[in-house]
Amino acid sequence: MSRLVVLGAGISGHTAAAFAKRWLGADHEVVVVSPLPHYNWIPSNIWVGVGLMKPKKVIVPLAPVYRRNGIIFKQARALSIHPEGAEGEKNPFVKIEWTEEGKIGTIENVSYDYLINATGPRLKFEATPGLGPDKFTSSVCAEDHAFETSKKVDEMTERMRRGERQRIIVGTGHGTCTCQGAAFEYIVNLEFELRKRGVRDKAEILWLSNEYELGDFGMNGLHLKRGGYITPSKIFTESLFAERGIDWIKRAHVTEIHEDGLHYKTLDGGEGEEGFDFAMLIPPFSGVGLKAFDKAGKDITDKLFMKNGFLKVDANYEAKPFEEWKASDWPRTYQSPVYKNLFAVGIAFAPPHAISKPRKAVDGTPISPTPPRTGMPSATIGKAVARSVVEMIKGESDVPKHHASMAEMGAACVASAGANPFTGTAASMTVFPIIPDFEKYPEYGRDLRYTTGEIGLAGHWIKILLHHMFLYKAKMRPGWFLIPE
Amino acid sequence: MVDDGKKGEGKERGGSAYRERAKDQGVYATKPTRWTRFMRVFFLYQAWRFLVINLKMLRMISKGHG
Ligand SMILES: Cc1cc2nc3c(=O)[nH]c(=O)nc-3n(C[C@H](O)[C@H](O)[C@H](O)COP(=O)(O)OP(=O)(O)OC[C@H]3O[C@@H](n4cnc5c(N)ncnc54)[C@H](O)[C@@H]3O)c2cc1C
Repeated sequence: MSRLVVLGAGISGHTAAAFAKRWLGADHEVVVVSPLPHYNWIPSNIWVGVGLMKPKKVIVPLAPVYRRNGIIFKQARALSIHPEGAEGEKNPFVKIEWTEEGKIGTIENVSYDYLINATGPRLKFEATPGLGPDKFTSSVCAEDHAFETSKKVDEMTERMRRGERQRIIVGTGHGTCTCQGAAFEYIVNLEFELRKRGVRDKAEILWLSNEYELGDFGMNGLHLKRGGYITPSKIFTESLFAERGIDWIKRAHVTEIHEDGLHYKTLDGGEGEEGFDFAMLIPPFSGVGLKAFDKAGKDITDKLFMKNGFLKVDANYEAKPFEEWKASDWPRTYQSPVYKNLFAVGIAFAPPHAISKPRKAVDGTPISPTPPRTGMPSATIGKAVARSVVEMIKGESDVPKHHASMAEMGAACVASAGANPFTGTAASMTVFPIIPDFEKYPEYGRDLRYTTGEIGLAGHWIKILLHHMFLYKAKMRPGWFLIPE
Repeated sequence: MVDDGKKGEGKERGGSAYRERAKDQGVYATKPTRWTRFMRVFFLYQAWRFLVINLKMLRMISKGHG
């Protein structure tokens, strides 16, 4: 009997564990280690954050799901990977610290034959003084953050009902943030909700982001064929903001936040400050800080992980200028080059470089988005890696045979722009490939036949459908595996 | 839609030159016509788009998993 250990029960880890167990059956063990008792369908946190959904609607308790499906669940945080074992312990193992009530703080070594790291991001609020829900800004990155944010929106609404004007800033809280898409969804949903509450005229709403142009979204933007033109996403995003009365400041790195305002600098060397009564700013991400040790107990973290804490996989990490980036730099199998039984999926793998062109302010401060890894590729990668590992466990292959390069796959994304079954809208987009491939598609890096987008009520219906479908899938209800990633 | 009666307020309350510029940006942006806005939420047209977008996404999924 072999044992596969999956670290993290988010979109990529939960998908990997569920499929691996389905394909391995009872002959082998699948163990999931994750610090929270539940799975969070993060995309719907946006609706929690504007008060349209309760947090319990976006989470699934993991223990009963895993019990029903024969997956061993350890509610714990992984601390370190020991890929060679240790003195007196010949098997590789992960050191974990339990977080479950009654066992909190208990340390355990969990041995493995194969390990998938799917620990997602650490939210690095400390990167900007004053950033984060413990300080002066709100967040929607976790369902509990989003719920606290919704309470602040209610308080702000009350103030507006009393006739007070409120200044709102939404965007990125640091020059190296990713996940602009989430902030974009939040700002347009909030604007929509304030209109619904009849207080929109009291709100001054500002988008502040590290993007070079609006609509970059960390993907270097995208181009769509529309109305006889090939139009960049900048045009559509600016149009939506203009239509909704949202101002914007781009190319900005937030340097400091205080109780009612923030300071920022911009790519051109300028500086500015803005006051706010409410701000929701995405933090920069890093890996969760796992350590690694060899058999003798020597720290080999640098060998396995990049400086930003993400695990090195089969990517080309050679530092080179933007002009020389290639689609083939991106990983295909997500196997560690050092240990063949170690993989990383979703946000946990180290990307070879950004997707958007990197830029620095005159003083050297980087102000450009780092690469996003959204839900669909995260789950697709999780499934492909599970498939490879299952074949390796069953002795059907010595090498990972399943590929899921973000430079070879497309993504569908639906960004909510206001939630209502009759008047709501969402932007429905498809891009192919996610990572621009300028060798295959010299002008725009993408195949414009498959790169599409439109905004409308239909998108909102799809977003609702996806919410229910993916929660059904996460609950591993009958036929869950038929639902595509 | 936005009450502009208090232009410049951002500056008084700690706003910057960037914000002042930001306030003008919307003027230069493309805006949808009433017809476009109507079609975005017109039930029958959107029911049709619902089918089309789903098909596009399925095509994307099959390409991505190929
Ligand atoms: C507000 C918001 C909205 C979004 N909306 C969309 C959207 O509409 N569409 C879309 O495609 N994508 C969206 N995304 C992106 C999407 O959520 C991510 O791509 C996806 O969650 C990444 O999956 P993951 O498994 O890598 O990480 P996560 O889903 O973050 O999962 C990481 C898991 O690891 C666990 N973990 C953390 N530390 C440890 C540890 N030390 N040991 C073990 N486990 C650990 C965590 O508890 C969690 O269970 C959104 C993101 C945000 C923040």
